[in-house]
Amino acid sequence: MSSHREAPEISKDPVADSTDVYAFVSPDKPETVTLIANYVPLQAPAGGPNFYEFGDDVRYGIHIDNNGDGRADVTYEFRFTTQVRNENTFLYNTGPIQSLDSPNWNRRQFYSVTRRDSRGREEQLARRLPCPPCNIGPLSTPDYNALADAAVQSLGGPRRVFAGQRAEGFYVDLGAIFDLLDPRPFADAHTKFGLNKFPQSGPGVNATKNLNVHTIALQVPITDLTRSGWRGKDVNDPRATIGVWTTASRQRVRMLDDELNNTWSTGPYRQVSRLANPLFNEVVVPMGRKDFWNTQSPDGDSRFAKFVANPEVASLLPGLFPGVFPNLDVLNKSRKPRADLLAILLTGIPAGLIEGFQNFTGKTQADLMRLNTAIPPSAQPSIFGLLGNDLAGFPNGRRVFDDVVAIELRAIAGATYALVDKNYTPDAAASQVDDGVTPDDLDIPYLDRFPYLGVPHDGFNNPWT
Amino acid sequence: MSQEQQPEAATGGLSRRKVILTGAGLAAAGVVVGAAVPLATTQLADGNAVPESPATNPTDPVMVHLRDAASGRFDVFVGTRRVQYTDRAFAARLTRIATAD
Repeated sequence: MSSHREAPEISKDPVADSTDVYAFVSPDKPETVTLIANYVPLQAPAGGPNFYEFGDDVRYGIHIDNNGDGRADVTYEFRFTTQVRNENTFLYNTGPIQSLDSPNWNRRQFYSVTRRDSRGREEQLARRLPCPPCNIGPLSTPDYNALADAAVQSLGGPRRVFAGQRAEGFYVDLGAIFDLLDPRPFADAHTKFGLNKFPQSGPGVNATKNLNVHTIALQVPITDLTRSGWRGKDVNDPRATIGVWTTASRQRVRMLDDELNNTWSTGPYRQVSRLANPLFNEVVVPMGRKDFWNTQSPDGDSRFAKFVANPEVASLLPGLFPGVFPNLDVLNKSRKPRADLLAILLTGIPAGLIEGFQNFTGKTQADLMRLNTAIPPSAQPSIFGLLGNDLAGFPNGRRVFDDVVAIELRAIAGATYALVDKNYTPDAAASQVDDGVTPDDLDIPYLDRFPYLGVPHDGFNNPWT
Repeated sequence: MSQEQQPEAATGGLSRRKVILTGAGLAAAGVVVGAAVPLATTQLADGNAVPESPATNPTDPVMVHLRDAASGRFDVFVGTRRVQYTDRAFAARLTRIATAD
Protein backbone atom coordinates (compact mmCIF):
# COMPACT_ATOMS: atom_id res chain seq x y z
CA MET A 1 0.00 0.00 0.00
CA SER A 2 1.01 3.59 -0.11
CA SER A 3 2.28 3.35 3.44
CA HIS A 4 -0.30 1.27 5.23
CA ARG A 5 1.51 -1.14 7.54
CA GLU A 6 4.65 -0.51 5.54
CA ALA A 7 7.23 -1.30 8.20
CA PRO A 8 7.41 -4.05 10.82
CA GLU A 9 7.24 -1.90 13.95
CA ILE A 10 4.68 0.66 12.86
CA SER A 11 2.38 -2.05 11.53
CA LYS A 12 1.77 -2.93 15.18
CA ASP A 13 0.87 0.64 16.11
CA PRO A 14 -2.05 1.67 13.88
CA VAL A 15 -2.89 5.02 15.50
CA ALA A 16 0.61 6.24 14.71
CA ASP A 17 0.80 4.59 11.29
CA SER A 18 0.64 7.18 8.51
CA THR A 19 -0.95 5.83 5.36
CA ASP A 20 -1.01 8.62 2.78
CA VAL A 21 0.04 12.22 2.31
CA TYR A 22 -1.63 14.54 -0.15
CA ALA A 23 -0.59 18.07 -1.06
CA PHE A 24 -2.20 20.08 -3.84
CA VAL A 25 -3.28 23.55 -4.81
CA SER A 26 -6.95 23.54 -3.84
CA PRO A 27 -9.00 23.31 -7.04
CA ASP A 28 -11.87 25.36 -5.63
CA LYS A 29 -9.65 27.82 -3.75
CA PRO A 30 -6.46 28.11 -5.80
CA GLU A 31 -4.94 30.68 -3.50
CA THR A 32 -4.64 27.89 -0.93
CA VAL A 33 -2.87 24.59 -0.56
CA THR A 34 -4.57 21.56 0.96
CA LEU A 35 -2.42 19.23 3.04
CA ILE A 36 -3.76 15.85 4.12
CA ALA A 37 -2.13 13.21 6.32
CA ASN A 38 -4.00 9.96 6.88
CA TYR A 39 -3.56 7.58 9.78
CA VAL A 40 -5.08 4.41 11.28
CA PRO A 41 -5.15 2.16 8.21
CA LEU A 42 -7.62 -0.39 6.94
CA GLN A 43 -10.56 0.45 9.17
CA ALA A 44 -13.46 -1.96 8.88
CA PRO A 45 -16.44 0.40 9.29
CA ALA A 46 -18.26 -1.92 11.70
CA GLY A 47 -15.32 -2.07 14.10
CA GLY A 48 -17.14 -1.25 17.32
CA PRO A 49 -17.83 -0.90 20.13
CA ASN A 50 -14.48 0.85 20.41
CA PHE A 51 -14.51 2.69 17.14
CA TYR A 52 -11.38 4.15 15.61
CA GLU A 53 -9.77 7.33 16.88
CA PHE A 54 -6.48 9.19 16.92
CA GLY A 55 -3.97 8.50 19.66
CA ASP A 56 -4.08 10.85 22.61
CA ASP A 57 -0.49 9.85 23.27
CA VAL A 58 0.72 10.50 19.74
CA ARG A 59 2.09 13.79 18.44
CA TYR A 60 1.08 14.20 14.81
CA GLY A 61 2.88 16.62 12.53
CA ILE A 62 2.59 17.95 9.01
CA HIS A 63 5.86 19.56 7.98
CA ILE A 64 6.82 21.89 5.17
CA ASP A 65 10.33 22.50 3.90
CA ASN A 66 10.44 25.66 1.79
CA ASN A 67 14.17 26.15 1.32
CA GLY A 68 15.29 22.75 0.09
CA ASP A 69 17.32 21.59 3.06
CA GLY A 70 15.02 18.70 3.97
CA ARG A 71 14.18 20.25 7.33
CA ALA A 72 10.91 21.68 8.51
CA ASP A 73 10.42 25.40 8.09
CA VAL A 74 6.77 25.20 9.04
CA THR A 75 5.19 22.51 11.19
CA TYR A 76 1.55 22.04 12.07
CA GLU A 77 1.21 19.90 15.16
CA PHE A 78 -1.96 18.09 16.14
CA ARG A 79 -2.67 16.77 19.63
CA PHE A 80 -5.78 14.82 20.57
CA THR A 81 -7.73 14.40 23.79
CA THR A 82 -10.48 11.88 24.34
CA GLN A 83 -13.32 12.57 26.74
CA VAL A 84 -15.81 10.03 28.03
CA ARG A 85 -19.14 11.26 29.32
CA ASN A 86 -20.24 8.09 31.05
CA GLU A 87 -17.75 5.50 32.26
CA ASN A 88 -20.54 3.14 33.26
CA THR A 89 -21.65 2.07 29.83
CA PHE A 90 -19.83 0.09 27.19
CA LEU A 91 -21.55 2.06 24.48
CA TYR A 92 -19.84 4.54 22.15
CA ASN A 93 -23.21 6.28 21.98
CA THR A 94 -26.41 5.81 23.92
CA GLY A 95 -28.72 7.20 21.25
CA PRO A 96 -28.57 8.94 17.89
CA ILE A 97 -25.71 11.39 17.48
CA GLN A 98 -27.26 14.35 15.75
CA SER A 99 -24.74 17.03 16.61
CA LEU A 100 -21.11 17.23 17.67
CA ASP A 101 -22.20 18.09 21.21
CA SER A 102 -24.88 15.43 21.38
CA PRO A 103 -25.35 14.12 24.93
CA ASN A 104 -25.85 10.69 23.37
CA TRP A 105 -22.25 10.62 22.18
CA ASN A 106 -20.24 9.06 24.94
CA ARG A 107 -16.70 9.02 23.64
CA ARG A 108 -15.65 12.24 21.96
CA GLN A 109 -12.28 13.38 20.74
CA PHE A 110 -10.95 16.94 20.56
CA TYR A 111 -7.73 18.34 19.21
CA SER A 112 -5.47 21.33 19.17
CA VAL A 113 -3.50 22.77 16.25
CA THR A 114 -0.17 24.47 16.79
CA ARG A 115 1.97 26.10 14.12
CA ARG A 116 5.73 26.23 14.58
CA ASP A 117 8.20 28.00 12.33
CA SER A 118 11.87 27.37 11.66
CA ARG A 119 12.86 29.69 14.47
CA GLY A 120 10.93 27.61 16.95
CA ARG A 121 8.18 30.17 17.39
CA GLU A 122 4.93 28.46 18.26
CA GLU A 123 1.39 29.67 17.85
CA GLN A 124 -1.58 27.66 18.97
CA LEU A 125 -4.08 28.17 16.18
CA ALA A 126 -6.95 26.41 17.88
CA ARG A 127 -7.78 24.17 20.77
CA ARG A 128 -10.61 21.83 21.68
CA LEU A 129 -11.77 21.44 18.12
CA PRO A 130 -14.18 18.53 17.82
CA CYS A 131 -13.61 15.47 15.70
CA PRO A 132 -16.74 13.94 14.21
CA PRO A 133 -17.81 10.52 15.43
CA CYS A 134 -17.10 7.48 13.34
CA ASN A 135 -19.86 6.64 10.88
CA ILE A 136 -21.64 3.90 12.78
CA GLY A 137 -24.95 3.42 11.04
CA PRO A 138 -28.40 4.86 10.33
CA LEU A 139 -29.53 4.77 13.97
CA SER A 140 -26.39 6.11 15.59
CA THR A 141 -25.32 8.64 12.96
CA PRO A 142 -28.50 9.30 10.97
CA ASP A 143 -27.19 12.42 9.22
CA TYR A 144 -23.50 11.76 8.97
CA ASN A 145 -22.88 14.36 6.28
CA ALA A 146 -24.07 17.09 8.63
CA LEU A 147 -21.75 15.84 11.39
CA ALA A 148 -18.82 15.71 9.01
CA ASP A 149 -19.54 19.17 7.66
CA ALA A 150 -19.80 20.56 11.18
CA ALA A 151 -16.38 19.16 11.96
CA VAL A 152 -14.74 21.36 9.29
CA GLN A 153 -13.43 24.18 11.44
CA SER A 154 -12.06 27.61 10.66
CA LEU A 155 -8.56 28.64 11.67
CA GLY A 156 -9.10 32.23 10.62
CA GLY A 157 -9.41 33.70 7.13
CA PRO A 158 -9.40 31.01 4.48
CA ARG A 159 -7.69 28.54 6.82
CA ARG A 160 -9.64 25.41 7.56
CA VAL A 161 -8.98 22.18 9.34
CA PHE A 162 -10.60 18.80 9.75
CA ALA A 163 -9.60 15.77 11.77
CA GLY A 164 -11.62 12.59 11.79
CA GLN A 165 -12.78 9.56 9.88
CA ARG A 166 -13.09 9.60 6.09
CA ALA A 167 -13.52 7.03 3.36
CA GLU A 168 -10.24 5.57 2.20
CA GLY A 169 -9.46 7.30 -1.07
CA PHE A 170 -6.32 5.40 -1.96
CA TYR A 171 -7.05 2.52 -4.30
CA VAL A 172 -4.79 -0.42 -5.00
CA ASP A 173 -4.94 -4.10 -5.83
CA LEU A 174 -3.04 -5.03 -2.73
CA GLY A 175 -3.73 -8.73 -3.05
CA ALA A 176 -2.17 -8.96 -6.49
CA ILE A 177 0.72 -6.60 -5.89
CA PHE A 178 1.93 -8.51 -2.88
CA ASP A 179 1.21 -11.93 -4.34
CA LEU A 180 4.64 -11.81 -5.90
CA LEU A 181 3.97 -8.66 -7.91
CA ASP A 182 1.28 -10.06 -10.17
CA PRO A 183 -1.05 -7.26 -11.33
CA ARG A 184 -4.15 -9.01 -12.61
CA PRO A 185 -4.25 -7.16 -15.96
CA PHE A 186 -0.80 -8.59 -16.64
CA ALA A 187 -1.37 -12.03 -15.17
CA ASP A 188 -1.01 -13.78 -18.51
CA ALA A 189 2.51 -12.44 -18.86
CA HIS A 190 3.64 -13.31 -15.32
CA THR A 191 6.01 -16.23 -14.89
CA LYS A 192 3.96 -17.58 -11.95
CA PHE A 193 7.00 -19.51 -10.81
CA GLY A 194 5.88 -22.52 -12.81
CA LEU A 195 2.55 -22.72 -10.99
CA ASN A 196 -0.43 -23.00 -13.28
CA LYS A 197 -2.53 -20.42 -11.51
CA PHE A 198 -5.01 -17.94 -13.00
CA PRO A 199 -3.51 -17.96 -16.49
CA GLN A 200 -5.92 -15.35 -17.73
CA SER A 201 -5.59 -11.64 -17.20
CA GLY A 202 -8.42 -9.86 -15.50
CA PRO A 203 -9.51 -6.63 -13.92
CA GLY A 204 -7.93 -5.41 -10.72
CA VAL A 205 -9.57 -5.70 -7.31
CA ASN A 206 -9.48 -2.69 -5.01
CA ALA A 207 -8.29 -3.98 -1.63
CA THR A 208 -9.25 -0.76 0.16
CA LYS A 209 -12.82 -0.71 -1.06
CA ASN A 210 -15.31 0.07 1.70
CA LEU A 211 -12.61 0.79 4.24
CA ASN A 212 -12.07 3.97 6.22
CA VAL A 213 -9.11 5.94 7.47
CA HIS A 214 -8.51 8.82 9.88
CA THR A 215 -7.67 12.09 8.19
CA ILE A 216 -5.93 15.25 9.31
CA ALA A 217 -6.65 17.88 6.67
CA LEU A 218 -5.50 21.45 6.56
CA GLN A 219 -6.18 24.17 4.02
CA VAL A 220 -4.06 27.29 4.28
CA PRO A 221 -2.97 30.13 2.02
CA ILE A 222 -0.01 29.31 -0.17
CA THR A 223 1.73 32.26 1.42
CA ASP A 224 1.58 30.52 4.80
CA LEU A 225 3.87 27.82 3.47
CA THR A 226 6.28 29.27 0.93
CA ARG A 227 9.59 30.92 1.68
CA SER A 228 9.05 34.52 2.75
CA GLY A 229 5.38 34.14 1.92
CA TRP A 230 6.09 33.99 -1.80
CA ARG A 231 3.15 33.80 -4.17
CA GLY A 232 3.57 34.00 -7.92
CA LYS A 233 3.08 32.43 -11.29
CA ASP A 234 6.70 31.82 -12.25
CA VAL A 235 6.98 28.05 -12.25
CA ASN A 236 10.76 28.28 -12.29
CA ASP A 237 11.04 30.45 -9.22
CA PRO A 238 12.80 28.33 -6.58
CA ARG A 239 10.43 29.69 -3.96
CA ALA A 240 7.47 28.14 -5.76
CA THR A 241 8.13 24.60 -4.58
CA ILE A 242 7.45 23.28 -1.11
CA GLY A 243 8.22 19.85 0.32
CA VAL A 244 5.67 18.18 2.56
CA TRP A 245 5.76 15.19 4.87
CA THR A 246 4.02 13.89 7.95
CA THR A 247 5.33 12.34 11.12
CA ALA A 248 3.96 10.69 14.22
CA SER A 249 5.92 10.61 17.44
CA ARG A 250 5.58 8.94 20.79
CA GLN A 251 7.18 9.59 24.13
CA ARG A 252 10.07 7.26 24.72
CA VAL A 253 8.84 5.67 27.92
CA ARG A 254 5.44 4.04 28.31
CA MET A 255 4.33 2.64 31.64
CA LEU A 256 1.59 0.10 32.21
CA ASP A 257 0.92 1.18 35.76
CA ASP A 258 -0.77 -1.42 37.91
CA GLU A 259 -0.96 0.83 40.96
CA LEU A 260 -2.69 3.66 39.16
CA ASN A 261 -4.40 1.12 36.93
CA ASN A 262 -3.73 3.08 33.78
CA THR A 263 -1.12 3.70 31.13
CA TRP A 264 1.00 6.79 30.91
CA SER A 265 3.96 8.04 28.92
CA THR A 266 6.90 10.24 29.71
CA GLY A 267 10.13 11.45 28.23
CA PRO A 268 11.06 13.13 24.99
CA TYR A 269 9.20 12.37 21.81
CA ARG A 270 10.68 10.00 19.29
CA GLN A 271 9.46 9.83 15.73
CA VAL A 272 7.92 6.44 14.94
CA SER A 273 6.34 7.08 11.55
CA ARG A 274 6.88 9.35 8.57
CA LEU A 275 5.59 9.61 5.06
CA ALA A 276 5.86 11.77 1.98
CA ASN A 277 6.00 9.99 -1.37
CA PRO A 278 3.72 6.96 -1.51
CA LEU A 279 5.44 3.59 -1.50
CA PHE A 280 8.88 4.99 -0.64
CA ASN A 281 9.34 3.11 2.59
CA GLU A 282 6.95 0.41 1.47
CA VAL A 283 8.68 -0.89 -1.66
CA VAL A 284 11.94 1.03 -2.00
CA VAL A 285 13.49 0.73 1.46
CA PRO A 286 14.44 -2.86 2.35
CA MET A 287 12.97 -4.70 5.31
CA GLY A 288 15.98 -4.27 7.56
CA ARG A 289 15.96 -0.48 7.22
CA LYS A 290 12.24 0.34 7.29
CA ASP A 291 11.90 0.89 11.02
CA PHE A 292 15.03 3.02 11.02
CA TRP A 293 13.74 5.06 8.09
CA ASN A 294 10.60 5.84 10.03
CA THR A 295 12.64 7.45 12.80
CA GLN A 296 14.71 9.67 10.52
CA SER A 297 14.42 13.21 9.22
CA PRO A 298 14.22 13.68 5.42
CA ASP A 299 17.45 15.67 5.37
CA GLY A 300 19.37 12.45 5.96
CA ASP A 301 17.78 10.51 3.15
CA SER A 302 20.97 10.37 1.09
CA ARG A 303 21.66 7.22 3.09
CA PHE A 304 18.67 5.63 1.34
CA ALA A 305 19.47 6.95 -2.14
CA LYS A 306 21.10 3.71 -3.25
CA PHE A 307 17.77 1.94 -2.89
CA VAL A 308 16.20 4.51 -5.20
CA ALA A 309 19.09 4.45 -7.65
CA ASN A 310 18.73 0.70 -8.18
CA PRO A 311 15.27 -0.19 -6.94
CA GLU A 312 14.44 -3.79 -6.16
CA VAL A 313 11.12 -3.71 -8.03
CA ALA A 314 12.86 -2.67 -11.25
CA SER A 315 15.24 -5.57 -10.89
CA LEU A 316 12.35 -8.00 -10.40
CA LEU A 317 10.16 -6.98 -13.33
CA PRO A 318 12.18 -8.54 -16.20
CA GLY A 319 12.32 -11.87 -14.39
CA LEU A 320 8.66 -11.92 -13.40
CA PHE A 321 7.49 -10.92 -16.87
CA PRO A 322 9.84 -12.70 -19.28
CA GLY A 323 10.36 -10.81 -22.51
CA VAL A 324 8.16 -7.90 -21.50
CA PHE A 325 10.81 -5.53 -20.18
CA PRO A 326 13.93 -6.17 -22.30
CA ASN A 327 15.12 -2.57 -22.27
CA LEU A 328 14.63 -2.31 -18.54
CA ASP A 329 16.62 -5.49 -18.18
CA VAL A 330 19.54 -3.96 -20.06
CA LEU A 331 19.27 -0.81 -17.98
CA ASN A 332 19.24 -2.84 -14.76
CA LYS A 333 22.29 -4.81 -15.77
CA SER A 334 24.16 -1.63 -16.64
CA ARG A 335 23.85 -0.67 -12.95
CA LYS A 336 23.42 2.93 -14.01
CA PRO A 337 21.78 4.84 -11.20
CA ARG A 338 18.18 5.67 -11.93
CA ALA A 339 18.61 9.43 -12.16
CA ASP A 340 14.94 9.75 -13.07
CA LEU A 341 13.79 8.15 -9.83
CA LEU A 342 16.39 10.00 -7.77
CA ALA A 343 14.94 13.23 -9.12
CA ILE A 344 11.28 12.28 -8.75
CA LEU A 345 11.63 11.02 -5.19
CA LEU A 346 14.64 12.74 -3.64
CA THR A 347 15.45 16.10 -5.24
CA GLY A 348 12.50 17.06 -7.40
CA ILE A 349 12.52 17.28 -11.18
CA PRO A 350 14.80 20.03 -12.46
CA ALA A 351 13.75 22.52 -15.11
CA GLY A 352 14.35 21.54 -18.71
CA LEU A 353 13.16 17.94 -18.54
CA ILE A 354 9.43 18.54 -18.79
CA GLU A 355 8.23 21.59 -20.64
CA GLY A 356 6.74 24.17 -18.32
CA PHE A 357 7.54 22.24 -15.18
CA GLN A 358 10.03 21.83 -12.39
CA ASN A 359 9.81 21.04 -8.72
CA PHE A 360 13.52 20.82 -7.97
CA THR A 361 14.42 21.77 -4.42
CA GLY A 362 18.20 21.52 -4.60
CA LYS A 363 20.90 18.95 -4.07
CA THR A 364 19.76 17.75 -0.68
CA GLN A 365 18.28 14.31 -1.15
CA ALA A 366 15.10 14.10 0.87
CA ASP A 367 11.90 12.14 0.47
CA LEU A 368 9.42 14.99 0.24
CA MET A 369 6.07 15.42 -1.44
CA ARG A 370 7.17 18.30 -3.66
CA LEU A 371 4.52 20.69 -4.83
CA ASN A 372 5.16 23.55 -7.21
CA THR A 373 2.53 26.00 -6.01
CA ALA A 374 2.79 28.13 -9.17
CA ILE A 375 1.18 25.35 -11.18
CA PRO A 376 -2.56 26.02 -11.11
CA PRO A 377 -5.09 23.24 -10.63
CA SER A 378 -5.87 21.37 -13.81
CA ALA A 379 -9.19 21.95 -15.53
CA GLN A 380 -9.03 18.44 -16.95
CA PRO A 381 -7.02 16.41 -14.48
CA SER A 382 -5.49 13.07 -15.36
CA ILE A 383 -5.23 10.39 -12.69
CA PHE A 384 -1.80 9.68 -14.15
CA GLY A 385 -0.54 13.13 -13.20
CA LEU A 386 2.69 14.12 -14.90
CA LEU A 387 2.68 10.88 -16.88
CA GLY A 388 -0.70 11.95 -18.21
CA ASN A 389 0.62 15.41 -19.15
CA ASP A 390 -1.18 16.92 -16.18
CA LEU A 391 1.38 19.14 -14.46
CA ALA A 392 -0.83 19.61 -11.41
CA GLY A 393 -0.74 15.93 -10.48
CA PHE A 394 1.67 13.49 -8.85
CA PRO A 395 4.60 13.73 -8.56
CA ASN A 396 3.86 17.43 -8.47
CA GLY A 397 2.26 17.08 -5.08
CA ARG A 398 -0.49 14.52 -4.93
CA ARG A 399 -4.24 14.84 -5.31
CA VAL A 400 -6.68 12.46 -3.68
CA PHE A 401 -7.52 10.75 -6.97
CA ASP A 402 -4.05 10.39 -8.45
CA ASP A 403 -3.21 6.82 -9.44
CA VAL A 404 0.08 6.78 -7.62
CA VAL A 405 0.47 3.02 -7.89
CA ALA A 406 0.34 3.08 -11.68
CA ILE A 407 2.50 6.21 -11.88
CA GLU A 408 5.22 4.76 -9.69
CA LEU A 409 5.07 1.31 -11.27
CA ARG A 410 5.46 2.88 -14.69
CA ALA A 411 8.29 5.12 -13.56
CA ILE A 412 10.11 2.21 -11.96
CA ALA A 413 9.51 0.15 -15.11
CA GLY A 414 11.46 2.73 -17.05
CA ALA A 415 8.80 5.04 -18.42
CA THR A 416 10.56 8.11 -17.04
CA TYR A 417 14.16 7.12 -17.68
CA ALA A 418 14.13 8.73 -21.13
CA LEU A 419 13.80 12.08 -19.35
CA VAL A 420 17.42 11.75 -18.27
CA ASP A 421 18.76 9.58 -21.10
CA LYS A 422 17.48 10.46 -24.55
CA ASN A 423 19.03 7.29 -25.93
CA TYR A 424 16.85 5.08 -23.79
CA THR A 425 13.67 3.67 -25.25
CA PRO A 426 11.19 2.58 -22.61
CA ASP A 427 9.61 -0.81 -23.10
CA ALA A 428 6.11 -0.62 -24.53
CA ALA A 429 4.75 -2.17 -21.34
CA ALA A 430 6.35 0.49 -19.16
CA SER A 431 3.68 3.01 -20.02
CA GLN A 432 0.90 0.47 -19.57
CA VAL A 433 1.75 -1.43 -16.41
CA ASP A 434 -1.06 -0.98 -13.95
CA ASP A 435 -2.77 -2.79 -11.12
CA GLY A 436 -6.07 -2.29 -12.88
CA VAL A 437 -7.98 -0.21 -10.34
CA THR A 438 -9.11 3.38 -10.65
CA PRO A 439 -11.28 5.82 -8.69
CA ASP A 440 -14.25 4.07 -10.32
CA ASP A 441 -13.54 1.20 -7.93
CA LEU A 442 -14.47 3.37 -4.95
CA ASP A 443 -18.08 3.29 -3.74
CA ILE A 444 -17.98 6.72 -2.12
CA PRO A 445 -16.86 9.55 -4.38
CA TYR A 446 -14.34 12.20 -3.53
CA LEU A 447 -15.65 15.62 -2.65
CA ASP A 448 -15.02 18.67 -4.80
CA ARG A 449 -14.42 20.70 -1.67
CA PHE A 450 -12.43 20.49 1.55
CA PRO A 451 -11.53 17.94 2.87
CA TYR A 452 -11.93 16.27 -0.54
CA LEU A 453 -11.93 12.68 0.76
CA GLY A 454 -15.40 11.17 0.85
CA VAL A 455 -17.50 10.69 3.95
CA PRO A 456 -16.69 7.40 5.65
CA HIS A 457 -18.49 4.16 5.01
CA ASP A 458 -20.94 3.32 7.78
CA GLY A 459 -20.68 0.19 9.86
CA PHE A 460 -24.26 -0.96 9.42
CA ASN A 461 -24.05 -1.29 5.68
CA ASN A 462 -20.43 -2.34 5.28
CA PRO A 463 -19.75 -5.01 4.44
CA TRP A 464 -22.95 -5.99 2.71
CA THR A 465 -24.33 -9.38 3.63
CA MET B 1 10.77 -6.89 48.21
CA SER B 2 8.45 -7.89 45.45
CA GLN B 3 9.43 -9.62 42.26
CA GLU B 4 6.75 -9.94 39.64
CA GLN B 5 6.24 -12.64 37.04
CA GLN B 6 9.08 -14.77 38.29
CA PRO B 7 8.90 -17.15 41.22
CA GLU B 8 11.59 -17.04 43.82
CA ALA B 9 13.02 -20.36 42.67
CA ALA B 10 13.62 -19.00 39.23
CA THR B 11 15.85 -16.31 40.62
CA GLY B 12 18.23 -18.84 42.04
CA GLY B 13 16.70 -19.10 45.47
CA LEU B 14 17.47 -15.56 46.37
CA SER B 15 16.31 -14.13 49.56
CA ARG B 16 13.15 -12.21 48.91
CA ARG B 17 14.74 -9.40 50.84
CA LYS B 18 17.90 -9.02 48.82
CA VAL B 19 18.59 -8.72 45.13
CA ILE B 20 21.26 -6.76 43.37
CA LEU B 21 21.56 -5.47 39.86
CA THR B 22 25.15 -4.96 38.86
CA GLY B 23 26.40 -1.53 38.13
CA ALA B 24 27.49 -2.60 34.64
CA GLY B 25 23.94 -3.13 33.53
CA LEU B 26 22.72 0.04 35.11
CA ALA B 27 25.48 2.12 33.67
CA ALA B 28 24.89 0.64 30.23
CA ALA B 29 21.27 1.57 30.48
CA GLY B 30 22.22 5.08 31.41
CA VAL B 31 19.90 5.07 34.36
CA VAL B 32 22.18 5.07 37.37
CA VAL B 33 25.82 5.86 37.69
CA GLY B 34 27.81 3.79 40.14
CA ALA B 35 29.56 0.52 40.67
CA ALA B 36 26.54 -1.11 42.16
CA VAL B 37 23.02 -0.18 42.94
CA PRO B 38 21.44 -1.54 46.06
CA LEU B 39 17.94 -2.84 45.85
CA ALA B 40 16.14 -3.69 49.00
CA THR B 41 12.75 -3.96 50.49
CA THR B 42 10.89 -0.98 51.75
CA GLN B 43 11.81 -2.10 55.25
CA LEU B 44 15.54 -1.90 54.64
CA ALA B 45 17.57 1.11 55.47
CA ASP B 46 18.33 3.48 52.65
CA GLY B 47 21.15 2.49 50.32
CA ASN B 48 21.92 -1.00 51.59
CA ALA B 49 24.01 -3.04 49.19
CA VAL B 50 22.84 -6.58 48.53
CA PRO B 51 24.17 -9.66 46.69
CA GLU B 52 24.09 -10.10 42.96
CA SER B 53 21.21 -11.95 41.38
CA PRO B 54 22.23 -14.80 39.09
CA ALA B 55 18.92 -14.33 37.26
CA THR B 56 19.85 -10.88 36.15
CA ASN B 57 21.79 -10.39 32.97
CA PRO B 58 24.12 -7.47 33.60
CA THR B 59 23.51 -6.21 30.08
CA ASP B 60 19.74 -6.06 30.52
CA PRO B 61 18.32 -2.56 30.34
CA VAL B 62 17.16 -1.29 33.69
CA MET B 63 14.32 1.18 34.09
CA VAL B 64 13.87 3.02 37.35
CA HIS B 65 10.57 4.64 38.17
CA LEU B 66 10.45 6.98 41.14
CA ARG B 67 6.95 6.26 42.27
CA ASP B 68 6.82 8.50 45.33
CA ALA B 69 9.44 11.20 45.79
CA ALA B 70 8.39 11.96 49.37
CA SER B 71 8.89 8.44 50.65
CA GLY B 72 11.68 7.61 48.20
CA ARG B 73 9.81 4.61 46.83
CA PHE B 74 11.10 3.24 43.53
CA ASP B 75 10.10 0.57 41.09
CA VAL B 76 13.07 -0.93 39.32
CA PHE B 77 12.28 -2.89 36.16
CA VAL B 78 14.75 -5.36 34.73
CA GLY B 79 14.17 -8.40 32.55
CA THR B 80 10.76 -9.74 33.51
CA ARG B 81 10.93 -8.47 37.09
CA ARG B 82 9.92 -5.46 39.08
CA VAL B 83 11.86 -4.76 42.24
CA GLN B 84 10.59 -2.30 44.79
CA TYR B 85 13.16 -0.20 46.54
CA THR B 86 13.23 2.72 48.92
CA ASP B 87 15.96 5.31 49.07
CA ARG B 88 15.02 8.83 50.13
CA ALA B 89 18.43 10.29 49.38
CA PHE B 90 18.49 8.81 45.90
CA ALA B 91 14.95 10.05 45.36
CA ALA B 92 15.95 13.52 46.41
CA ARG B 93 18.90 13.53 44.02
CA LEU B 94 16.76 12.32 41.14
CA THR B 95 14.13 14.92 41.92
CA ARG B 96 16.75 17.63 41.76
CA ILE B 97 17.97 16.29 38.43
CA ALA B 98 14.46 16.01 37.06
CA THR B 99 13.50 19.53 38.00
CA ALA B 100 16.76 21.18 36.96
CA ASP B 101 16.64 23.42 33.90
